[in-house]
Amino acid sequence: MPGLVRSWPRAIIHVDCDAFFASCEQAVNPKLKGKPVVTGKERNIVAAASYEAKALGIKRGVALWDAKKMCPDLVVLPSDYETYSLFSKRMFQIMRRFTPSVEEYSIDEGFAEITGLRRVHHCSYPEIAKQLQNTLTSELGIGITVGVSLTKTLAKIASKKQKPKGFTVISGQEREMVLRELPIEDVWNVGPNTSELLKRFGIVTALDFANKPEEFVRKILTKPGVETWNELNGRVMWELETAEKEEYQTISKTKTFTPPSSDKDVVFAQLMKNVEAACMKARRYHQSAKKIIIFLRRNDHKAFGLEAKLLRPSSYPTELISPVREMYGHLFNSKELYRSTGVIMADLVPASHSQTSLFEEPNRIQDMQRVYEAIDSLRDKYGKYAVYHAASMSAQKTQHLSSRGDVPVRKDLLLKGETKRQRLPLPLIQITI
Amino acid sequence: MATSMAINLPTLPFRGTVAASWGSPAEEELLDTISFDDWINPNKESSFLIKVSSDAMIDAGIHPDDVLIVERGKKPKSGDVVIAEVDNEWVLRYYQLDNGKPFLLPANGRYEELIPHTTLVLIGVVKACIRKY
Repeated sequence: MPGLVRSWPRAIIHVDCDAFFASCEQAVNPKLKGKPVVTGKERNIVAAASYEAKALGIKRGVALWDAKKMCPDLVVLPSDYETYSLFSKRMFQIMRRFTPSVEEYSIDEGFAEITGLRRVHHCSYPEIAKQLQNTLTSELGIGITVGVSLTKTLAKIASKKQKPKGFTVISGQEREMVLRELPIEDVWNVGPNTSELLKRFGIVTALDFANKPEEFVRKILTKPGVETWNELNGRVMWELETAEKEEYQTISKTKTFTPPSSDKDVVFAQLMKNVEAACMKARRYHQSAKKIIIFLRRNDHKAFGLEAKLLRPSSYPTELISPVREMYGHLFNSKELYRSTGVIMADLVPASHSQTSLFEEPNRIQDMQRVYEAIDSLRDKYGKYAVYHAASMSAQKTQHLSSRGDVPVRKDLLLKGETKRQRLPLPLIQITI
Repeated sequence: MATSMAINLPTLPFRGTVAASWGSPAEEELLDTISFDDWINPNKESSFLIKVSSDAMIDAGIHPDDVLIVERGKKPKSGDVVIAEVDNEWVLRYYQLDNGKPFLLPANGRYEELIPHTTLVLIGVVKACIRKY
């Protein structure tokens, strides 16, 4: 049953970046090292806080205004997702130097399996992990925390033990000792309902749970619960998902607006503005969506969404406005205050595949293509706000005013030959030398 | 053109000849070339861009507004051009070792050499200098 004989039946590393967005900013601007830095200026909310800011009590999700009160010297930056994505891609590429088995779990977290690679690297599993951490830290210039253990669940527990710049190993022998100190609700994939249920059976720590007999676990929990139990006992249930994440499988656009609104037209204008922006991006990459998802976020941060399958792949707001309006009608409630809207264009296919069906009027579609080609070239020449749909007019005006100072430095600091739309895929160090 | 035939294999019936081609010799020769991207920037994961503003390295051919490719996490050798933080200032200089002690040398007579008093932090080693006309 539970106990393990060998100390390393499998060896899995969990890599977790420390305060990732803020760390990237400090890496491209060394002057910000050691200073409290937050990102999220464009949303008026702390999206990420550096460890220096966290030490002052500034957490993710805090209003910028409050954060500034807590720390008048706070450095507030607009989010630069392009730079963060570059760092993220590099992180996974460096991990692949050590092993081909890498999972891109999220933008700032990943797993790497190194089982069987001791001979290749001429060292022990913890030593391989340490080397990986050192390489990531020195080449990327950001803080990285690493956990090494027998399963993804245990590796996650390891990396959580010590942060930032932490390095924790949980081998087969150390497993029980660590799990004994870990509250059950802190285990990955154990939600509040499950932990409440387990507590009713006297299970308080992760070890209490891991030591329960299998029949008991199977009786009270469903499949994911049983899998977690196995993973805690060092048996791999969740293999790494090693497919490289493809870009632009979806295109999404979200914007928070101030002040929050319960005006049906105002909120719809915000939504349509996102639809227009997403469509324009899709057209730029010659993609059309087969599915469109919209969501509205209320002032209490609860979000509600709906999705629609399209009869024909599209990247034209004129076509999408009627399904979007219909979904919006179902979602919107005039008694609520809304703070942001979003759209996701999913199931993207190359635009050439979006042929007209038999009963459509090809002339009308060709006309629409020509109209949008004209709109795109006008927007290229005169800026994003040169032409837009009447439905998004009110949103275009307000956003235009508040967007000053919200553009990431990289988008203003262009090198010769770069444009506002396309830059070299390398992070730019922002110091004067 | 080359042909292929079944010879000395009596159990296989002879079915005739097939035309085969060598393909274009140009294709194969091009296998031994690298892209401009790989040439200018071989270590993609650790390379960063930085724009030059000072003329401290002008005699080394590095002008204001040039764009440098800088590699992070590399140990500099004596004589490398580096970007470093010296006593809270960021500079572009030659990295020199004098009896194992590092100091930073400009390539411009109007600048003086820098001997770090408290700290020397290497940001990166310069691997290429690009100027677009």
